[in-house]
Amino acid sequence: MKRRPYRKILLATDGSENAKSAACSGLEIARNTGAEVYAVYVAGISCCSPIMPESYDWEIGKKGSEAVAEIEEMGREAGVPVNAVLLQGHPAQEILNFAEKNDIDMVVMGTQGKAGVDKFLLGRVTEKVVRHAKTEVLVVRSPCL
Amino acid sequence: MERDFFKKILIATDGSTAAENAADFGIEIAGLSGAKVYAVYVIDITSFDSILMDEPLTKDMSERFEKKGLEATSYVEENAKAAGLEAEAVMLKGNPAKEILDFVEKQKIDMIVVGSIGKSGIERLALGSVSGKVVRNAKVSVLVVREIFDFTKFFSRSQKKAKISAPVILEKEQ
Repeated sequence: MKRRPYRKILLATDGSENAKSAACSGLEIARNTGAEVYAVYVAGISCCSPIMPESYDWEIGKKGSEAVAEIEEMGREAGVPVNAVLLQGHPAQEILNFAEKNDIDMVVMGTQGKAGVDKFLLGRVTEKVVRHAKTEVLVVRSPCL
Repeated sequence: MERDFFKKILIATDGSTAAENAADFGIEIAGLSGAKVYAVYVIDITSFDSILMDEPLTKDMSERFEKKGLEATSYVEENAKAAGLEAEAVMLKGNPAKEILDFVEKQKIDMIVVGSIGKSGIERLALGSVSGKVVRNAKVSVLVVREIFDFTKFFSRSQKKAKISAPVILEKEQ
């Protein structure tokens, strides 16, 4: 093929079930291509105030590392090493920035995260990433067994 | 992780270079799991359905579209077969996004591969209208293959104009 193979895959997670099944698909692809995997969690900007840096650490440390650790665990089962990344800011923007800075080849994410209501529609973060990413984006809907 | 990995992959094409890019990428992914590839081209009849046209003209139009569709799907089919995959070319008629989604449901497809911009160009800069509809409304996974929009190509027209206008200014100075 003319295109370069996948070398770096970004798995976006927010700790939801949907994100987990998306990660599952991403790991399958990574296992088959031998790509490097980044599990990225973005803590919302509102979660922590800059006045109290200790609250920032606590919030990210708990929810974020739990979400990322789950994916690391899944990666271990699949035999794929996972790099954990914790970021803070506007989720879509941070994901896009990270992808650009690190030469990510493909972003993998679920359709609906924590704010989701309708199964068949796109989440806000996913929609933004699909629209603005300069890389390939895989939107995952299939459940992970 | 003993899940049936993507077994049936639909590659939507409209004959544009963006779609060909997407197809190459989709075939690569299909190769990972040895999936069956469906190359789908949809003849968009929505635009000329509303206009009253005499029969020979409609016939001529659909013949042309069919030829174009055959070209587009055979590109995908050939490449998929060259990669050692099972491939099938499919041609549909109707509203592109709707037909693609209907086909996906009927054939129990696992994954759709679309290019980010197709024929309608920069209608929405980042995501084409058909791709957008497919991503939003599909019930299966969708891989959006990015076509980086070539701004130099887009602005080349205005650059040409500038070149033409340059000697005019010189004449004025003389």
